[in-house]
Amino acid sequence: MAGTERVAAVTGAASGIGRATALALSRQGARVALCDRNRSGLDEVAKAIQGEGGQARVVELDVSDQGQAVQAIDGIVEGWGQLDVLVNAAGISSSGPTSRGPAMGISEQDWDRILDVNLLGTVYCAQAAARHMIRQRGGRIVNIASVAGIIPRINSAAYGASKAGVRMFTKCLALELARYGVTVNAVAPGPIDTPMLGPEGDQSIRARYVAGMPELFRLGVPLGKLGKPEDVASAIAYLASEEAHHITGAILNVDGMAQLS
Amino acid sequence: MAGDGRTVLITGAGSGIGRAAAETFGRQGDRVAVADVNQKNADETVQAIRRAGGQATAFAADVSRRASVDALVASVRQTYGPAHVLVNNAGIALPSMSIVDVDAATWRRVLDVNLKSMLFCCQAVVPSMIEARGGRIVNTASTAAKVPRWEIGAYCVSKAAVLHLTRCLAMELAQYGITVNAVGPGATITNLRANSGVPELPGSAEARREAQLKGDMGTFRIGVPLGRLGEAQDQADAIVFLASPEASYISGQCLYVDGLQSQC
Repeated sequence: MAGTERVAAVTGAASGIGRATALALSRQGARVALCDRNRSGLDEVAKAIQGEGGQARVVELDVSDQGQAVQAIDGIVEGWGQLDVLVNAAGISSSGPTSRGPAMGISEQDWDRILDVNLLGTVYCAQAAARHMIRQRGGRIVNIASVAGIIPRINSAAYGASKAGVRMFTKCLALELARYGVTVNAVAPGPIDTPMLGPEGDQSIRARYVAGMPELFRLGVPLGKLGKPEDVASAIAYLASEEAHHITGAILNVDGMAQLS
Repeated sequence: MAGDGRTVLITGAGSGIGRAAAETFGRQGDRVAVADVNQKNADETVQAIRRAGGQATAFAADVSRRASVDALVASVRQTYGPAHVLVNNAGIALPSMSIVDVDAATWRRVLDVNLKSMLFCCQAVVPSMIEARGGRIVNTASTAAKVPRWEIGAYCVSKAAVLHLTRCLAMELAQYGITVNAVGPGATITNLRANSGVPELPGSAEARREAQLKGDMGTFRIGVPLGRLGEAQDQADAIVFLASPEASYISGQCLYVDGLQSQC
């Protein structure tokens, strides 16, 4: 698999899917710019990559701040001369006390924060990266959508709406960048074993995601297990690879068939 | 499908699809609360409804602001009692531009007006629907909620989120007997662009109509297989049906009224 000398930027790289993706891209030979708000998490991932002989740099970034996003992406291009891959893995499922409750009770502040990080954060980084990729006449952008952005989930209206937006943004950007040879795709994870799912070590919540929650009209996972961040990272790494050059505007589910329809 | 004297609140009812829906509800005997950011347009809709023998009152409101929505819903309640039907129709278009160049303020504006307004209106209206153990909510989405469109990406994103919010609300409100659906207009003859302060596309109205009907392979848009543009009344009829008692087992759906344009 190609990858030598390629430059990849990964947001949300300090944990979960972003971290696994950064490691996967590094193992394919890419130089990886690790972006996140969490500086100590970034340092740990950078050390892990360098420990395997890879190249990493860390960039402190709150993706919901457009100025920071542009500065981060431009800085990576300045430092490494190019940008071949952007993975928008920064995301939150909760932004305050009302964000994971009934839609009727979501506060404006919590609603805005989820949209700002998940949707607009993806937009700002992708826009900044696209400008370089258009000039380069090539590149790969991979976003993280969600099954919860296509199947309505109870108590997830803000998160779901933000991810529905990411799905459509992926397709619109793909359409407009197609003529430059830049592909834009997304993965749609189902339940993945990350801190987003519930406190680490809480096995009962994890078992409920696998088995389904009838009171929430929510099916479990036909494959009978949670996904791991590495499962999603492999799919992202494929969509980010040279081989995937004829795939664009696609949403690849990595969900154990949690999306039944 | 005759109305039984319900209270119907329609946002963006001063023109286009909202006005046609308001007039149709008015003709069938519903009390129509005509809300629009433009008071003059809302007044005109009310006059048209009254001329036809219906009941309507105009309300000026900016539904992208929570305080304005709360005041609107309180006034409607005072005038006509609690709303049985809420039509979230207010929306704006954006000027054509590459999705790479849409600035942060524009993203916020289109998400606030097209999407967050719907959350605000539902939050304000639904408590009385829960008390009444029933209600109908109909949202105006778009074929752009399903099909990516060239150089109006931010609009597409807002409408895709509208469609998904429709389904999430449907799920959460089902237990109260409240249905939540959407209509998905294709190219429809309205003043949406002018009302949004967006310049018309170049060429005469007739030339633009022909271009829509033919499609444009350069921007990856099919024409209209049914061979005509939609009228506001086409959308209004679908909205009134989804709001009717007959539609009680339909929820979380988007009815595309688009002459087959979303089949691409």
